Amino acid sequence: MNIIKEYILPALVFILIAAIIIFGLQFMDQTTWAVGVRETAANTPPEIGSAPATFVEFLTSLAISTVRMTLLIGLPFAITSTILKRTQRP
Amino acid sequence: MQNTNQKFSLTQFKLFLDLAVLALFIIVNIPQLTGLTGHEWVSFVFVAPFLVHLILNWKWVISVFSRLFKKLPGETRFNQIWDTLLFIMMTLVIFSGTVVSEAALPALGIHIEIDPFWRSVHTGMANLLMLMFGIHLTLHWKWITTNFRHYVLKAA
Repeated sequence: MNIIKEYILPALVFILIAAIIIFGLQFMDQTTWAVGVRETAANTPPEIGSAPATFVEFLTSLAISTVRMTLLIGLPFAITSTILKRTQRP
Repeated sequence: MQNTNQKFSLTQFKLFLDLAVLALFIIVNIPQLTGLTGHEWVSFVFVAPFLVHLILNWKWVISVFSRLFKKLPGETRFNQIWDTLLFIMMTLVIFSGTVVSEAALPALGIHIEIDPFWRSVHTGMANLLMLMFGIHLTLHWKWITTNFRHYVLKAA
């Protein structure tokens, strides 16, 4: 009973909410905004290809990934952390 | 006493699960390094620990959402809004990523015509999700470091 209440029920609730969100999202591609995005995206080559084949390609990909991670996760992490430290100082 | 042990082991499990989610999230978000095929398969694997992460925090979700219109401490309220947005974004990224799958789904015999719109949404929203994830990580950093010191560093 506990397994159902504590694990299965929450899982079903999260999946149900996700399904409702997905149902709503499907209408996004029918908007006029989607038409514009589709036209632009159709002329843009995909950013991701196959995995690096040579050591130089690997190093280049590693460098790009490190910069991306630093900017997109590290930077907001550092900024929020600094703000929290300053605002929570006694 | 038995209950305390159970609580401790659950915290320990949560810590290792969260570290696994963090590691997988980083691997998923370095597609330049893993390649498209690796990115797609790791993304599908990521969904399972992500769902378990949500389930294990169910009590917190219930306690916070049962007080939706009541007064809550600022940090808790921020967490509530932020985590909700994060869940919506994660759903959007997983959904858009699934419908633009070029390697994993075809390998499973599922062929979907790829819409450039969803590819564009997937790329843009995934970048935004990473920014949001950085802030989510900061908000729980104290819990992570405290338990990491307790369960990993002290145990070693």
